[in-house]
Order: sequence, then structure tokens, then C-alpha cells
Amino acid sequence: MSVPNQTADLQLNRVAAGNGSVLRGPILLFFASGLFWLLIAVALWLLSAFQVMDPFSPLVFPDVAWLTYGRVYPVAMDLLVYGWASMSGVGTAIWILNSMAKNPFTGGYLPLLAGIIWNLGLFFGVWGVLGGGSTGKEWLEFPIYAAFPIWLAEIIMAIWTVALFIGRRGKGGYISQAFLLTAFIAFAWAYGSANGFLGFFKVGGVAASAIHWWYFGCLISLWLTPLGVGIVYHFVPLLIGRPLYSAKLATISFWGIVAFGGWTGIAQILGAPLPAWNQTASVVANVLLVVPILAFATNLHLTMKGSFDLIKPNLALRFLVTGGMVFGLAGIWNAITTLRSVNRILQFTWATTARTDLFLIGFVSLVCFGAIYYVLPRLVGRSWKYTKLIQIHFWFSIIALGTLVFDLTIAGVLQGFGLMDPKVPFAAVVDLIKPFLLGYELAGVFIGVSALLGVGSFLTVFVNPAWAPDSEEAPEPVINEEVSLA
Amino acid sequence: MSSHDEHSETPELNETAPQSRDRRSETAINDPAVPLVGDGAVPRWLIGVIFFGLFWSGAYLFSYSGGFSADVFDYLPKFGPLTSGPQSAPDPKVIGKALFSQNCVTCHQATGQGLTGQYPPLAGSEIVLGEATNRYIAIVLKGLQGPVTIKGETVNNSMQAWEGQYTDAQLSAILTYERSDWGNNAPPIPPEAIKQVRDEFKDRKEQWTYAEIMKMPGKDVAKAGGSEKQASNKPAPGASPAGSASPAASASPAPQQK
Amino acid sequence: MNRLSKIIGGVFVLFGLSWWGLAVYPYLSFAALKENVDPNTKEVAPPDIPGAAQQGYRVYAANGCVSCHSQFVRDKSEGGDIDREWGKRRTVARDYMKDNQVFLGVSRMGPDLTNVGVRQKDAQWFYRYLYDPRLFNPDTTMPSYRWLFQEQAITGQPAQNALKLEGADAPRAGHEIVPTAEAEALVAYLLSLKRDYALPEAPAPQE
Repeated sequence: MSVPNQTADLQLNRVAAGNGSVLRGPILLFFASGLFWLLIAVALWLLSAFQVMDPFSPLVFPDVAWLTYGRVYPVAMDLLVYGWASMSGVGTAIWILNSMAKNPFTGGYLPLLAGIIWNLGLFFGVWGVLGGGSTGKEWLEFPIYAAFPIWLAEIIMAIWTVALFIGRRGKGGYISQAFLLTAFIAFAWAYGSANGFLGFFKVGGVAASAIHWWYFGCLISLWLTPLGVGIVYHFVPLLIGRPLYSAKLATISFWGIVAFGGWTGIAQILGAPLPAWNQTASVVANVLLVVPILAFATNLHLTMKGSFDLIKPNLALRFLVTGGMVFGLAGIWNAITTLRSVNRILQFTWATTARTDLFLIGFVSLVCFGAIYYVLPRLVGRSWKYTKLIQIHFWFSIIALGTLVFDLTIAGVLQGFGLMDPKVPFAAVVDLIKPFLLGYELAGVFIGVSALLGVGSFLTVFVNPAWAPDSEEAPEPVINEEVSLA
Repeated sequence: MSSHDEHSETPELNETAPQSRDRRSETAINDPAVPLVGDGAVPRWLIGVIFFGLFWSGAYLFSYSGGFSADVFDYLPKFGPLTSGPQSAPDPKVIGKALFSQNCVTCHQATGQGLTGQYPPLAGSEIVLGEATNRYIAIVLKGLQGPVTIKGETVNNSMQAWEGQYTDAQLSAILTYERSDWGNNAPPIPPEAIKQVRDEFKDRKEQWTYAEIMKMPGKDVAKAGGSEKQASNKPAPGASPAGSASPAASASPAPQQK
Repeated sequence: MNRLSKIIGGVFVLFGLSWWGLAVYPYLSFAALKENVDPNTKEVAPPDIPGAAQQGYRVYAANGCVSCHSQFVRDKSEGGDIDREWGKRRTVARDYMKDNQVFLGVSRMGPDLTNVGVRQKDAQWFYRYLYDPRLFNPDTTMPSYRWLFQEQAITGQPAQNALKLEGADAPRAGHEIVPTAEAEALVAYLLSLKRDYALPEAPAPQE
């Protein structure tokens, strides 16, 4: 794939602004929905963390079916992925794809429609799972009447994406478009296929588990990964005002993720009654995925080289670059822990939870917040009022991430060695990790606070006076005070 | 702070009046900046990682593929003693074949024909099928060095010692398998026979030469009790016609068994 | 257009490969599974699933039991499941061929349930455990599922499946606590989790 090196001219292309665009509504809808579902997700997650810490605390309601851990925790995770990460990611993707297409066709009603249907689906999903309609399959808990609207919204978005790409002006393109296109197509395919096989055709037996965990690999590696990677690839060069370091590295990272991403899921259930070659292929894919991830991280690093001092004043950049670097770490950690010799200890423990959380909270969430912090002022024509709030948000996110991942990983290692030793009774293994559940609770609180800070920052934009287009003195929509003071 | 920032943090929102009804500007919320991409080289170490990764993955995938079969669930082939409920113990030939395909196959080939001029064949070999099983076992245990004449063809090469690699049971499985495939049809070699020869030569460190082997008094240790009777490289009883190729010049003109 | 077709074509081929390999291939391979009939005893493995247990899948799924409990035994080479006596042998595809829904699970916050019906054969045990896990393990992380039970006035004879509870859990005088239909289905399902029959493709490893 050729990524044309259009021009070395870094002068910004003064095209059009966001005010009055028909896409402003859909993007805002996606952002707002994402943040709304994030709040719900984090609240439920926190509740579930308290419940698992002490199943007899006042936060456990043994007489209330819909507040049991087995319903609350899956809903929290699903909302985190399909609500927060997906919706805010889609909002950013709309912005990116449209800004790259440079054409009058926007079909703004399609993303709007998709956003509404998507929210309906999530609502049905929460209702269904809490109400006892869960399918009992991790990350696919939503019953078919909730999964179908979400899938429909994805299809609409995929069609819109492709149409926009076909109708774009000029032959120019950028790697972020390829990632986002892939994400939309692969997700619509994978989500439809998995729900079709499991929910509609009701495939039984262990084949259902194969499909189920194949889907999980696609969800992580072919939906959230290309979404996040595409966003980082797009905004980082813009924010530092320099071109992306290498088209070749970008190409390697793209085709690597496309080639290996779909194979990664089965490694979650190694030792399952699935053909040995399926499992081995999945381990291999997880290891090989390190290549595109390293290509991406190297590209990001070499692009940033010499501009790292911008991370301090530029908060959107800070979120995006940190997210990208966490992604590199998560990829390597993922490869190490999938290897059979390590997996036999860590499988079924909190360490695998931490592995997924590192990806979701560390990479996807940081990138989505970074993208919102970049896009929102440009979208609404208002600048950030309280940049300190964003700074605090960043540090809270990092603390939350660190607490969560370190705590759960150590707990998982202890749990894993405990489970390996048949002389240690199972109850003793549980006792072993109980202290760490306290850290998990604490991390949950941090995550809750950082989510609130993020939502707060989002809202403060709207209390800021609109930036008057005619006024020379109008504050630029910058998100850092250091720059404006300098 | 730096000149970069002025570009990146200037979204140029005032370029279009918000009230404009112009379709073009209304529909496009184009970010003023389109990212550019450089032409940086791929770092050498990453190319190294790619090739190492591909090599490793290929090896890993094919080692633990379970034969790409839908009904193999264990990534490691099972050689150990197994109980399988109503099932009988596994056939030593099956285990032997699996072990054979790990190492022996490299030189002697899956067809058992060896490589002409380099590695001697096992199919129809007078050593493999001969009654002097002690020679056969001794070669496999300690290895062989120098010219060898099998089925009338002389090759000059070297085989390593396998005594450190395999247990008696595993060697027994491999040898029994070698005596049963590719048209070979000779009685199995029990683990006790391997042990007997192993004990007999336990102080020897170096590889054999073929001449030494041929000077060794041949005996059929595979027979129960390891009979002291003189045995030759004549095909063992029941050896198939394919195995009775050409009895090479044997050092000991022992009488035919049976 | 060329660029688009390259991306979309590449995605379809590469992604399609994984779809075929990990989703369609197992589906097609396992569709052909047949039950194992022992030539001597004529015993069928895996046994048919009782009707009551078929209802239990839904309850197991709805309440997210899979969040903490797995349902497969790994081979000795892949982990300590067999040493922990969660099964005498690893589980294979045929073990699940009659299950409408399979909950392999990725978490073992609670013990593996592949063979829970072998370890515990008493429905009353399960009822009491679901009603109050602390009766069995004061440090457990398992919550109570009291809503799966109901209190009713004893009329005449006490109900056969009434829970034997004492102390703080004991019902009011003249009342008894009985499982709802959901609890009965769930426990029937748990009791049916017995993979203790022999399958030729999964020999039990010898000590």
C-alpha cells in the first residue's frame, strides 16, 4: 500500500471549519454517548469490585437478581468496550475520515442514525443482561435483540466509511484511513458472524467456544487496535507539526495487524478442547503480532524524537503518545504471557484480566480521551476552560492504570502458582489474593475518579464562551496554558 | 513554547463563517491539517525481529500442530505409558515411528532407504534385520564412524551415539519400528535387550567402527534370556523377502537359526 | 479505487483466513462428532443430558457463573488441573457435543465445574451452597443467590426439597425456604456436569 508523501510543506491546509457542519452533530452524539456509557460502566465496575472483595458487604444484594456480580461485571465490561471505547472511537473516526476525504459528500444522517441505533442497542443490552437475558459468553453477553441493533449500526458505519472513501477527492490518502476502514469492515463482519452463529443459529458444542473466542481476538485486534492505532497515527504528526516517520513502518504495522489479528483470540483458552493446531496458531499469531506493534511503536517513537518536550504542554498529545507506548508494552506483555510455559501458570487468573485491562484502560481509553481532547475544541469552536482539570485527569488515569495492572498481575501470579500446586487447597488460593482485591477496589475508585474528570473536562468546554470568529483577541482553542503563557 | 505548537494548535476555525449556507463549507468539517508521512527506513533490528519471528513461528507451529488434525487436542504428542480405560496399551511401533520421525528420519529418511552414497538404508539392512541384534543395538547406542557396507554399498559417514538421548523403552520402540516398516519384518526388540547391551558396553565412550562391530560375536539378545548362541547377520526368522537382500561378508559363520 | 480494493481485498482474504480457520473449521469438524459406544458395556459416552438440566443452561448463563467458574480440564502438560483432581482426564470436543451451550470460561476465581456433579451428588448441598456460601466456606468470594429461593408457609408436610437451614439463615417459624424453578433447573444442570466416562481420545494419565 502506498502512502503518498504528498508534500513536505507543513503549512496547514486551511480548508473549512467545524461550525455548521452536518457531521458535528453525529460526532458530538458519539462522544457524548461514549462518555455517558463510560460513567455507567465505571459505576458498575466499581460496584462489582466491591462485591467481589466482600460478597457479604452492604453493596451485595442477595435478594436482587439484577445486581448480582455475575450480571453487573459483564455489563460493565461490555459497556466499556461497546459503549465507551467503540462509540468515542467511532466519533473520532468520523472526524478523521471526513477530514481526509475532503469532499462534499458526508451523508451526515447515516452516522447520526448509526449513533442512535447504537445507543438503543446498548440500552437493550444493559436491560437484557441485568434482567437475566445474558448469553453467558464473555464480551458477547448482549442478547440477540441488543446485538442486532449494534450490528446494524456497525453496518451503517461501514457503508458510510467505504462510501466516503470512494467519493473522496484526489488520490491522496493516509495510513489512518486504512486502519479505520479495516476496523469498520472487520468489526461488522466479526460481530455479525459471532452473533449469527451463536445467537441466531444457536451453534452448540465446543464449536461455539471456538467462534466465541475467535471473535474476542477480532474485537481486540481488529476493532479496538486499528481504531486506536489509526487515531494515534493521525493525530500525533498533526500535533507535533511533523510528518510521520516512515510509510514503510506504517505499512508493516497495518498488514501485520490485519494478517495476525484475527487469529489471536483462541490463546485466551489454551488447553481447551479445540484442535491443537488452532491453539498453536493462535499462540503464534499473538507472538507475531509483536512485529506490527513494534513497527507502530518504533514509528511513533521516531516521529516523536526531538518533539518529546511537546508532551508536557500539549495534553492531547500526552494522552495519545502515552496510549501508543502502553500499546507497545501491552503487545509484548501479551506475547510473553500467551506462550504456553507462562500461560499454564497465568491462565484463569487475575493476571489475564489485567492483560485485557492494560489494553482497554491503558491503550484504548487514553487514546480515545486524547482524541476527544484534540477534536472537541475544533468541533465546537470553544477552547478548554480548565486545562488543570485535564492534567489531573491524565495523572489520575495513569495512577489508576498502574494500580489496576500491577495489583492484578501480582495477584494473578500468586494465584497461578497457587493453582498449580495441588497441595494448596483452593480456598487458600482465594485467601492468598484477597488482599489484592483491596487494591483492585482502590484502582476501581481511581478509574471512577478519572472517568469523572474526563467527563467534567468534556462538559467544561460548553461553559466556555464561544470563540467569536471575528475577534482577533479570541482565545485559540488550545488545551494547555503553558503555550498561551509563553 | 515551540514553533510546532503554533501549527498544531491552530485549528483555523474562523476560516468559515458559522452561518454560511455554502454547501461545501457546511458539509466539510475538515481538519485543516492532513498528516504527512515521511520516508524513514525500517530499522535493521526490526527486520531481524521479523525474520526471527517468522522462523520461530514456523518451527513452533509445525512442532505443536498435532498434525493439523481436528481431533488432536494435545499440542505435545504422548509417548509415556497411558491407560485408556477400555483401550489397550499403545503399539510400540506407533511410538517408535513418532520417535523415528524426530531424529533418525533426518539421515535414514522416512522411506528407510537412507541416502545413496551418504547414509545407509535401514530397509533390508542386514544389521537391522540380522539375528545378531547385539550389533544392531550396540551401533545405535554408541554410534558408528567410518566406512560401512550395507546391501553391498559402502558409505563413509558418522552416526552419533543415542544412548544419552533415549531410554531403553524408547530405543526398543524405535528399533522395533525399524524392523517392521518399509518391507522389514523381524521380531520386536524388547527393552531388556537394550539394557543388556547398554550394560555390556557401559564403559565404552567412543563410536564403533564397522570392523569392530563385525568382530563382535553376534548373538540375538532380543530372544528371551539373551541366548548365548552365535548369531549371524542372516535375516532373522520371519524376515520378509525384502529384508533378505544380500548377506554381507559376515565375520562369524554362524549356523542359521531355527 | 485501486487503494480501496487493495485494502478491502487484503482484509477480506487475511481476515477471512482467520474466520475460516478458527470459526468455520472447528464448526465443520465438530459437526461430524459421534457419540462413543463402548463395545463391551454398550455404554454411550457422553451420556444424554437430562431434560431438567437443559433448562439450567439459561440460568447458568443469565447469572454470569462463567465470570468465576471455568468448565474445562486442561491436559497435564498445560496446567495443574488434573493434579487438583478437577478431572481424571482432559476434556475433549466430544465431552461437549450434546451441550446446547458451552461455558469454557477464562477465570477461576471459583473452582472448575467440569466435574462438579462427580464431586457432589446431593441437590440439597447445591441449594444450600447457592443460598448461603458461607455455610461451607466463611472466606468465600461467592455471593449469595437468595433470590433463587422463596419463603413459603408450611402447609401440612414440609416440602421435600426445603432447605435445611439453621441459625441466622433459618426461616421464620412455620415457614420453609424452597428453591424456585430456576434454582431447580440450575442445580439439575450442575448435577449433570459429570465427565467421568472414558473416551478413547482422552486417556487418563497414569500416576
